[in-house]
Amino acid sequence: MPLRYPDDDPSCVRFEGSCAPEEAETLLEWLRRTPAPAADLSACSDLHMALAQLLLAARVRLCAPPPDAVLAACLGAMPVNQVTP
Amino acid sequence: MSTDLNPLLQQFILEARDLLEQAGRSLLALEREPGGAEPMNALFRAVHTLKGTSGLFDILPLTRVVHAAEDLLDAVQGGRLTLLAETADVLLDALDQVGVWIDGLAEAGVLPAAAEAASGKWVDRLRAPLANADSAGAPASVAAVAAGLPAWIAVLSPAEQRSCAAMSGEDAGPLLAISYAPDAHCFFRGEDPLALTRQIDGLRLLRVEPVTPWPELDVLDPFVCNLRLHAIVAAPAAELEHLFRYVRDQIEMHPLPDGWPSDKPAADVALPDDVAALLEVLSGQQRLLEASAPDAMWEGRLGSVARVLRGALHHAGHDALAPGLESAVAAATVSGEPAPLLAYIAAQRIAALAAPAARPAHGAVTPPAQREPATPAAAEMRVAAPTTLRVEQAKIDAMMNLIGELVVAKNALAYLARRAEDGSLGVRELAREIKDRQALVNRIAEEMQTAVMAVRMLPVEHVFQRFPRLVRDIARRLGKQVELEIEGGETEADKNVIAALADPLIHMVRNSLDHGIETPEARRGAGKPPHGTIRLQALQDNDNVIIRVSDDGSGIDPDIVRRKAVEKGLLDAERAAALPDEEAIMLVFAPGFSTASAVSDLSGRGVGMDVVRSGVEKSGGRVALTSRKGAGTTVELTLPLSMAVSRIMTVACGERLFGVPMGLVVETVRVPRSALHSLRDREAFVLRDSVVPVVRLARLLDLPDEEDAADEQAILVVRLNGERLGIVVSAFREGMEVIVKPMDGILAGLRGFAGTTLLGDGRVLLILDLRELAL
Repeated sequence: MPLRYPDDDPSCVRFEGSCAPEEAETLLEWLRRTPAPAADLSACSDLHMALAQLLLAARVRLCAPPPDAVLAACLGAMPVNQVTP
Repeated sequence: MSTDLNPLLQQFILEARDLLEQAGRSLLALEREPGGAEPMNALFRAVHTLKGTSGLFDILPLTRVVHAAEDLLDAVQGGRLTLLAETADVLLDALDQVGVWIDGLAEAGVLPAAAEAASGKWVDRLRAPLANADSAGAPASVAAVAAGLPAWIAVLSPAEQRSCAAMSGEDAGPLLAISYAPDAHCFFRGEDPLALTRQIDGLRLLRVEPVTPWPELDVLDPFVCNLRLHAIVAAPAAELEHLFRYVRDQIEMHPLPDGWPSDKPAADVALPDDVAALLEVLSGQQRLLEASAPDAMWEGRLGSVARVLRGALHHAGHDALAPGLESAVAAATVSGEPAPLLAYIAAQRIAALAAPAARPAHGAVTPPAQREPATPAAAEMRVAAPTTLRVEQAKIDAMMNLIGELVVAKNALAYLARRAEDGSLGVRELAREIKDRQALVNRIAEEMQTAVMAVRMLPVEHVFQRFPRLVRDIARRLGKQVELEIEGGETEADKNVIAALADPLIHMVRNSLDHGIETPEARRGAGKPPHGTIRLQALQDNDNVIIRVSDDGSGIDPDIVRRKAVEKGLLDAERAAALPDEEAIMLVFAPGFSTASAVSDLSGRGVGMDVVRSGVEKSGGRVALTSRKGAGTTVELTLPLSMAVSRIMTVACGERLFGVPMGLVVETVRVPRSALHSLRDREAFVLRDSVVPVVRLARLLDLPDEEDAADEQAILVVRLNGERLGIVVSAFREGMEVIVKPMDGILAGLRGFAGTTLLGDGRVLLILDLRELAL
């Protein structure tokens, strides 16, 4: 399961590995019932746009940006979205 | 052309080349004679036919371009549009492009991969004059139709702009701005726009923004895409076209102008002071928010930014926008991220820019009109060598008849052999019969040779036909008026000779255009008509074809040539002064010589005439040059009509035989040994009152020097680079016509030999390349 909702920190979702659009429904459910959602993408290698869209729409706070620069830029994790080719 | 193409496509390729050529010719004719009905009709017909036939194949990009060209021509024909030089340029360029695609089609059987992407651009260019004509009624310059920068670029913060620029300096590739608005239902089709974007090589900046404001989470549909991506990319447009080929309609690409971003914010230009001031405040606050800060300081910083913004908005009379600011500040305070406030600032910047609307705010940052990569130059470099020979039916029929005769002659030999076997023939009779048969085969072989030569003969027209275009393009670039006259295009020469002619001719014509013909003002000043004339002539002279390029330009000034030659260290001042004018002019053929004081991109790299001479001489030809200062220059190339069969003279060196091309031989003389004089380590003899240097063939070839006691020495006098040279050989043998096979395989690198041929007795005869040997 690439998206994990840890019990010890109920407001932070962990993205791991390749995160596919099938997770969007569950993520949205979680976002709807979580007051100040946060996300940890430090272990996320691929992120489908449907999931990225939800993170942006719900203004999720990033505890850790994804390692991939383009994904980080997409989520606005870096003020200047400078991406090295 | 690859032979595994389907026959229909092969036919189309041949036809398309013809049609393109015809269209190009008609266009040029039309330019000379605007409104001419005949060339206009021919042009329209050619393009129309091309469009029609291209529709049979799966080459949609090509068809689209040709179709757009047809529409344009239709407007011209219908009188809705005047054919201006610019329009003709676009058409010619487009036809060139189609030609390139046809070449690709001929090679690979499919259009080049880039065609799909380029086709849209060509269609736009072709439609641009049409759009002008239809709307404004003024076929204004195509160049003015240039896209402004997309709005999102204008609102990038200076820091963001700088981040792109800092890196673009490294490889200085052109930057492209891309906007990608994925279809709302793209997720259902399994598309992932983000993943696609991640594949871009050379992504410099990525922004993601919602298309419509985010709805409440409760009503949000997670599978409807509500995001738009903006990116600045340093990658070739073709690569991106390929990457986004399935979603091309959702992509907008804008090339960023060179030097973007400029140091000063682009929006400063043409904005009223108060808006500019507001923009400055906004970007200042944006920078402050972008700067990293310890978490503890965030709140204070947000507060100060909010205060500044409130004041600025009030000052600029935008109080109505203040509530938005308050909610953005609140959102930023809650999330601990500057993003909401940054988004607010960006929105205000757009609003500020939009406020003084209808003003050409982007005027100063309009990218230069997209010019195709110097197509005229590309066109002239692309020497479209005819890859197929078109032969008249009659010529093939003649060869067929000869083959028939040859088969009969061959059968007769078997019959003769049987008669020899059963002893019914005496030796004498047998010899006579064999001689008879030999004479018959000989006649057939000779006729066969003539027939094959005839097939290989091409009219010089093949080379000449590209010059009207080349002259037009270059003359336009140089701002000169030039008329090209072509004579004797029907003169025929061997295909190889024609091929060898192409490069020297291009150099010569360029030289004439660049250095020969003066500007219209200079010409008027010299009392000449403002437009210069370049004349291309071809004529046959015995076994040679003569190509003459003459212009009525400024001619070559022998004094300038002398001075330049001395400057370049080609010879010393004393010798230069002593040279007669005619010989001084010939110095332009010396390697590394250029008379133009400025190196232009056309000619004048100091290689032109040198290349002409070496190219022509390699094919066994000669170059002559005459020039009169102020009156013009004439260059004459003399080339053998055919290079397939060459006349050689055989000479003996000891026991060995060698061939020498007959064209080089001036005469053969026998002189007494005592007539050879030694001058230092070289030998020379006096031939009709002039000294001719002498070398020994045995020494040139590193063969053992035979110390023959003969009193007489056989000397072959040849002409190399205009100088006479005597070559001592053992004996002269007969001259003959041979077909010289070039050295190939491991022998290809062997210097000093032009090739080989077979002698009647089966021996291999080496043909000497005296230029390489003796110089």
